[in-house]
Amino acid sequence: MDWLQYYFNFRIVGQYTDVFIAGIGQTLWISGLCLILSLIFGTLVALGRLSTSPLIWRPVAGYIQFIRSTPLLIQIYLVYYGLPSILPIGNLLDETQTGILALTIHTSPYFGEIIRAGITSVDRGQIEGALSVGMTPRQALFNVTLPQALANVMPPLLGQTAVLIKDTSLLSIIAVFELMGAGLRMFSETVIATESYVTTAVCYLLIYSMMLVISGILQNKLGGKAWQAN
Amino acid sequence: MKLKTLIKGIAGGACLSIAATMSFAETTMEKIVRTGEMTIAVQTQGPPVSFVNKDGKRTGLAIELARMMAADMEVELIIQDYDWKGLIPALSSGKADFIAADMTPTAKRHMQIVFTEPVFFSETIAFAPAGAPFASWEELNTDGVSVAATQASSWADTARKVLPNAELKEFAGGTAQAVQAVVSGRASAGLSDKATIAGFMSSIEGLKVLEGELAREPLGFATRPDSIHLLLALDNYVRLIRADGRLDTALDYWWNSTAWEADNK
Repeated sequence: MDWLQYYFNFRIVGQYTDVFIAGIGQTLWISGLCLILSLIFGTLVALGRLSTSPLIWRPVAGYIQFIRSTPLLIQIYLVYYGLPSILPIGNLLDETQTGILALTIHTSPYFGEIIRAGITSVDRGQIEGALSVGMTPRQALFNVTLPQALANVMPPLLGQTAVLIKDTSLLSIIAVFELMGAGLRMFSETVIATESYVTTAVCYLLIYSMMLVISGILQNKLGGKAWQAN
Repeated sequence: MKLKTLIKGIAGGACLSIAATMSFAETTMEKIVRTGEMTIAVQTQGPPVSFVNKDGKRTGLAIELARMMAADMEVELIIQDYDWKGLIPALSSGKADFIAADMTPTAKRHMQIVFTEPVFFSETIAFAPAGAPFASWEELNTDGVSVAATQASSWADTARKVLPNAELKEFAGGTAQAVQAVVSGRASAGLSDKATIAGFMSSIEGLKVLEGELAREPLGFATRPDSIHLLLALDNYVRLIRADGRLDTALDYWWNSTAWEADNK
């Protein structure tokens, strides 16, 4: 195996195992929490966007357009440096919490638009059927519409989640240590680019593969037996 | 006929092999001599080492030293601008002949690339808001104090070693981010080198430099391990301009004072 060592130095990578494990842990924790929050707020954004009241859907549409038209880097800066000057609570949040907030603000509209497409894809008859058996509109939404909508849009949600995981690397501009930071630390100390960057990429690939498995399980669970038969 | 074709094929193959061997055997200095071009990788970082001045020209201490050397060698200087992360890959892949940036020649880095003898020295200092209750850097080594430094930099390393009780915040994007964090109150103090902070002090109010130096580091240029001729030429040139006073003149202008600001800002 010595010839392999010539192309990829596992010995040096091994010296940074703890740094990469810490980086993976931090990336998983940040992106996992952002994912949950973005799904919750994204659902609210989707429902707001589907509202018939202009007082609700217009501001929501404005928020979506603002987030879509501005770079994430600037949004992170605005939340990190701008929030404390607007709200005193901004100073109470540390770098990681601020990063999670910024990423959630950024990702929710994207999730919202995907979930909105999912909701509109659910057959109208399903909702009417739920209401005709005595469900309230809220029960019909949470028990019939949303589970099917989420199952239908699982592939684009997975794609957006992959973007979210990679976006965590931008949090290094506000001093949040994550997986990319681990790779950069190894590179700065050893100046071996291939090992530093390839190891980082493999770690991101592992996280993505894990997401793929989890989303498959969720898709089967949410869609139910009827969906699995499709 | 077949034998003739075979001989032609062998001869052609041999010529190609010789040409390829000659091409691979060419040293970096031989390439510079042959093409009349010397390509350097510089860092997009800011004054006074490498930056774009008010006239839109890339200049700074490292740039002007390389420019001086190219002029004395009578070759054309080609400057390629990279982020810090791109410098070493550019050198390793042969896109640049050497790196003209303020790199610290650590033992680990020297295992991959070769550094020249120190071209100049950097003093790591601490800075804080003018109203901060710190007088010297030693006072930063306390629980509850946060120190900003560039991500994965030698300043961050220094903070880990000499300020273990303070919280280290590593910002990607260079010293400007660390300064911004200190000015906005996101960090109690920051670390960088003396010359860079002097540049910021003249344009940003409300900062003060804390007493004392945390570390003093040699900074040099870097070549590929196989570019021995070029390395020796660079070392020789540093000795040459140190002896004739041109290095000191450049250091006084760019590094030890803010004289460069009048001409470039």
